[in-house]
Amino acid sequence: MALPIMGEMSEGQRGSLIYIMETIIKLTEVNKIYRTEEIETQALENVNIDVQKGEFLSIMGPSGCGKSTLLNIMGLLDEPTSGTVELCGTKIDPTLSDNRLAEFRNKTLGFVFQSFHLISSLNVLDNVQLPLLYRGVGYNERMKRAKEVIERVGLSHRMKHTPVQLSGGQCQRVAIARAIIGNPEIILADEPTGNLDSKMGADILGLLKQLNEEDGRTIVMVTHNEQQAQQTKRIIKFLDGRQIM
Amino acid sequence: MKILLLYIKHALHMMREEKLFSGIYIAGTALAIAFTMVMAIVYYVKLAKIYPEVNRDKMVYIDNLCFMDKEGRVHSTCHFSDYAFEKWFAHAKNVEYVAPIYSKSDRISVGNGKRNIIGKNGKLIEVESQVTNHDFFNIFKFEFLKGRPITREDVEQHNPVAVITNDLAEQLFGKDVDPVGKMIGEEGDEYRICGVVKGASPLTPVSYAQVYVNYSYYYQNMVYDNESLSGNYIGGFSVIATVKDNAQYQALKQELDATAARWSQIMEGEPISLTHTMSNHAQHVVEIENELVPFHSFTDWDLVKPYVGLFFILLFVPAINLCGMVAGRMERRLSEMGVRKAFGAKRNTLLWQVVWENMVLTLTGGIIGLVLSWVALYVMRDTILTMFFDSDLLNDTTFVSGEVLFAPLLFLGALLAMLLLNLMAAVFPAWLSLRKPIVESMMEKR
Repeated sequence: MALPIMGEMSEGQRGSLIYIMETIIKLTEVNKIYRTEEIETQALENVNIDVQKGEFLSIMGPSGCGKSTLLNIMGLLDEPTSGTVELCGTKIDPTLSDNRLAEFRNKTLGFVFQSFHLISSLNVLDNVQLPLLYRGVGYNERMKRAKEVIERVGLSHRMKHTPVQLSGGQCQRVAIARAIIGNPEIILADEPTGNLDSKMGADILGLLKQLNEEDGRTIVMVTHNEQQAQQTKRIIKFLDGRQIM
Repeated sequence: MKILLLYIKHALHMMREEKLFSGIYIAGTALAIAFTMVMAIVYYVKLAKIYPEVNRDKMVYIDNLCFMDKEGRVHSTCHFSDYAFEKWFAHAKNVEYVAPIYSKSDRISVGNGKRNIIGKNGKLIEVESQVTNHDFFNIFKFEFLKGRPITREDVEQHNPVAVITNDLAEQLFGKDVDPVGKMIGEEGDEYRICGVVKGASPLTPVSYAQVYVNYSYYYQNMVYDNESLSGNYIGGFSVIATVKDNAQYQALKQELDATAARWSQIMEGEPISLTHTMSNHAQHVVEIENELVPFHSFTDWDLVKPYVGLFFILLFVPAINLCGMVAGRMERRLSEMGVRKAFGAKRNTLLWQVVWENMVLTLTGGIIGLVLSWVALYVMRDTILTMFFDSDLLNDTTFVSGEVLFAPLLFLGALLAMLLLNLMAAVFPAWLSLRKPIVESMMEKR
């Protein structure tokens, strides 16, 4: 559906809209096939998804249904076999250079993974500032912003700790701080509560909701937890690589 | 700069975290560098311009007089007599300087290098001597602490003069006595000391001696009979000269070939060659090391192949092992690299990170290796030096000077070797790993 722009709206229309919807992620006819010498597996089949700016979308489905593959393709961590991906109005051309893709990931996307993927040799402060490091932000600015986001996720007292010295919930908070430090438009969370107990899981989900509601960040979350998915604004369900709802 | 510090911080953390890997990597690098440094020091001593052999790039050695058969093959060789030196070399046009020196083999087997002199307490002491002319002190740049070198006049007038080293001077006369003008030697073989030099090391055997005596005095009473020419040429000398450049080297060769042809006619039926064993300094060193008989024909590859093999073993074999270790470690770090790429790290940035991390390890190993090589040269000096130098000339005072141990060229060479190790061991496996897709990298077990 084509969205009306403000200038074309009637007085009544303007009054009835709270905000204008804008597609920030657009997947068109996306297929992903994994091939080995013996077998061919279709992980995604003709997937078409539009995610609007400011949405909190959850993708649900059983294990192996292709939801993580979808998230990886949205996050430019993997390439579709066919189909197109648009992020923030930019069509991701498969011929884009490694450097250009790295820059895009750095500025536009933030990731939260089920197993945290923190770097064990770095402390909390150094882990969190990674995206800014690769953006070429100066040391003082990096430190200032890292401290701000660490404080926001409630870990000011753990800045010098390394991941092995933290609990699972704390690790995921660090991962969220790392995801938001670069102010990305989109946060992609792959089973962010999958390795946590229910209390910690609820805590992390609360943090993600806060980021969505207060900062207006677009969040796409993969989960198989129905209860958590219900707390997001929209749910897409997957089965055997196909979108079923 | 800050990112560099972060790389180094990361590397140090990795060293603490992966003690076994880091330890083996550092030990491997240290041993390779230590061996390389010992070899480099040995060959630096043998080949580089070091005191007093600072003209090595211009030096020409003519070791043997070769007697040829009718087919142009060498059938026997011998060293030159002082007579032969006078007739064939002393007045050569295409040299800067030319001097007779006791040939290495005669110094050792015939004992020509040994000379008895009366010591302080009246006892005879045996010293290493060289019998030569004035040009010797132009070819070898000795530092004169007192007095002067042997002069052309000394040679022409057969003066009984000698130059001695400062160590011998101190041994004979003590510290406070000026030895110039004093006599040394034993009855019938006495010389007046005309100069005192800072001594050379036995590691530079061509210039090394404790006493340098005027050859024209030493041989003044020899009688040469023109009726038996061939016998007159055989003696204990080799010839050493300096030439300005390659053109003069070639001109000297032609000149000596012409001389040999002329004298071959005089010595009917016995053609001779003066240039069959003519060589520059590097060739001379390699010939001696490989015991290449002088008349054996050899190619440039024959000369260098032992060293290629040696450096291959010393540098590349450990490098290949380290390469395998780094590759294994990169596999273990794939997940981390994937995460870094997910947050915007470019492939080149990560490659540099790996290079810097390995640089820290290699530099640590390299510094330990350098220190190890110095310790080895100090503690195992006799074993190492005997392996590479003429053990007959070595003695308790043999030293490897600071000039050699801290030579900038050597240090630079060692650094380059380290860099080569680093590049070989780190970049290639890292580059291969970083080409893997991000998802694949992140899914690797950590």
